[in-house]
Amino acid sequence: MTLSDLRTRILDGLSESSSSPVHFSASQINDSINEALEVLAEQVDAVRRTAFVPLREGTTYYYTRSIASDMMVPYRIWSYDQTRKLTAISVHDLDEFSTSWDETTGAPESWFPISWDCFGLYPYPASAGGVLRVDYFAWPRELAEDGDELELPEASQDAVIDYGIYDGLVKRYDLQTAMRFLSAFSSLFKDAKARSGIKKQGSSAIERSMQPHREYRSSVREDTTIR
Amino acid sequence: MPTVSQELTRIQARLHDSGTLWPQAELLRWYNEGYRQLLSQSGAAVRIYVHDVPGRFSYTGTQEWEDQYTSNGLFQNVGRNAAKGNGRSGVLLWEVEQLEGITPTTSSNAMTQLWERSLATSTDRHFRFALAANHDHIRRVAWDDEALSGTHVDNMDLMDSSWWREEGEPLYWLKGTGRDKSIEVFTVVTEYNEQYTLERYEQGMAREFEGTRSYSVETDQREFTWSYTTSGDGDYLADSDDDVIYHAIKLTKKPTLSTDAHGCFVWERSTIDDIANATSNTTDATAGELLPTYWWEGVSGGEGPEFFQVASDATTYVSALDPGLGIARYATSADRQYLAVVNESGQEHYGIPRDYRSTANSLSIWEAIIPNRDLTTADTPGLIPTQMFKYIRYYVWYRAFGHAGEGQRTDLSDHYKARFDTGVMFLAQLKDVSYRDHVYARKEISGLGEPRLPRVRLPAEFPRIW
Repeated sequence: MTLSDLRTRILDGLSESSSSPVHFSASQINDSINEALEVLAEQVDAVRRTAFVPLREGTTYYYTRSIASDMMVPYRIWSYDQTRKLTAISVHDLDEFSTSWDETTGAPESWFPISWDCFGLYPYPASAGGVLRVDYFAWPRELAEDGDELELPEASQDAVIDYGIYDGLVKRYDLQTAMRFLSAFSSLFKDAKARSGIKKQGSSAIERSMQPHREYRSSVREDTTIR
Repeated sequence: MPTVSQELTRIQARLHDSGTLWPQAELLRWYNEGYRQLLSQSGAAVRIYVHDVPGRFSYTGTQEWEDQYTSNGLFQNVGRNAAKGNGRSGVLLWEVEQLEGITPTTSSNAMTQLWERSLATSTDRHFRFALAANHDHIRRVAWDDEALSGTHVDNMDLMDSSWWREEGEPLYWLKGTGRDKSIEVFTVVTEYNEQYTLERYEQGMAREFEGTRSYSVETDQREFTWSYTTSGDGDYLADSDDDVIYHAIKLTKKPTLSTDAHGCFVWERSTIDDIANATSNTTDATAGELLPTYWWEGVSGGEGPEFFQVASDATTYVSALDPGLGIARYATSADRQYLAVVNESGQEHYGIPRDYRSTANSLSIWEAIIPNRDLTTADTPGLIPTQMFKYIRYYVWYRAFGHAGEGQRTDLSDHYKARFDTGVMFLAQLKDVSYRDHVYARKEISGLGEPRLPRVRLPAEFPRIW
């Protein structure tokens, strides 16, 4: 379905002429469609991309905006050199694990989020070389031209129409009717998640095991010093 | 990336108002409010600030009223107000005693900035560090890359000692007794450790580093690849669609009067000026000089028979500059990572970096930040993804529809508030996909769970029982 098709369907739903709408401009409907795609991407994690970043010497922290401008959040980081997936872990867990994790050098084994636009590697490489593959959930590409097509599966595209109608009705201050369409839009999250294969994704699946005394491959053990 | 002005236009379209019911200035205030709330409630924008040790405050004074005359920085009052001092204050403790009419005793050193500790033998000043101007809350404090535990001043006071004077490797951080937007560290490091600083940044783009460690410069392109003679040539190179980045040097001398002709030599420029003035031979022709057109012609020992004597123009060449062409974009080391530190605006990590600091032997503080200045209509909310701008719009609609008076629609206000809250939750998740990280709130840290044993305290009736 193209942007033009979506706009026509939304205007039909709002009882507006698709060729010469009275209460809405084409750009306003386009904005609603792009907003729906953003919300879908946020709720369903439907858009997935891959980027590659070289490891730099002595560098722990990487800004996602310097890796890919459309990166929402990484969900998998793979080290080509080590042929392994880096485990996601929180800074809090790292601090509890070792007081000197920030000084440990070696091939990266874990990654940890710091900010929405920054993550770190543990341990950090002392020398440059090697490439990380960063698989990430992405923000959707903005639809601008009438012929632009959605990346979503066909069945999920109806959700975008529901959202467009919802947004139009809110503009008319008809919130009661609008909420019905927003509910219809939201009810598609579950199915859309299943289609995008993200349903099984959860925090426990990507965390490092917290079994006591578990070592990293870098041989750094759990911190037992009393401070 | 849409500007605030474009966003306000969208907001007004939804309100069906062009400034009659909701003036744009009011919408802009709500827009800034929503921007701050989105970041503050989610804590999603975190930056690592590395501090010189001992720390610095932007301003110090001896009277609180002096703070009213400062801006863009944290003020520290180093004065000691005396109860009977009639507004007077001292810096040394004996001065307070004198003002109070007590026999003065020997006091420790006084200082206005904490880095002066490195020059003093002892002081009873607390070991405090000013946080960034855009600070919202702390997520982590580390000394020399090791995390410090949070504690509370009440716990420290149980030691029954001047704990703020104890020297050693830092173990704890606490809010202490000082102002908000500053923290205290226990124990005290007196050795002065300054970071790399770019020199002469006040005059624009910095060219040199100042620091104790040695460094070298790497650049993809140090020399110009093109020479050009007129500004038209330069414009062509600048507007070229080719992906190659050009560095070019203008080898001609611009005439002083005419704007449409250039000469390679001074005598040519004089001639052009004479023509423009409709005069002739008003100036003696200046002797010609060797004129290189490529960078290698100016390199001593390079190829070519006689084009090397251009020492007077040596600084023209990029290779003569340090750190080279353009601005330093990053600093790398096998031993540590250098972070570009934003000291004042705190808005972005873009632009010209002023300081590069490493966490080695330094205090690093991870701070959740909020914008510390209001956006104007020409700005863009740069601390959040572009796709999150819609949640700020929701906030403005929540405030606008909830505003008492004509145009009030509480149902729409509630609806947009709920959608804004969804955005806050989503942004909070983005900062931590493992959902396990702890957020150190602005409230006092309890210090519970620390294995440090308190000092022995004997009961008040100790002699009687014994």
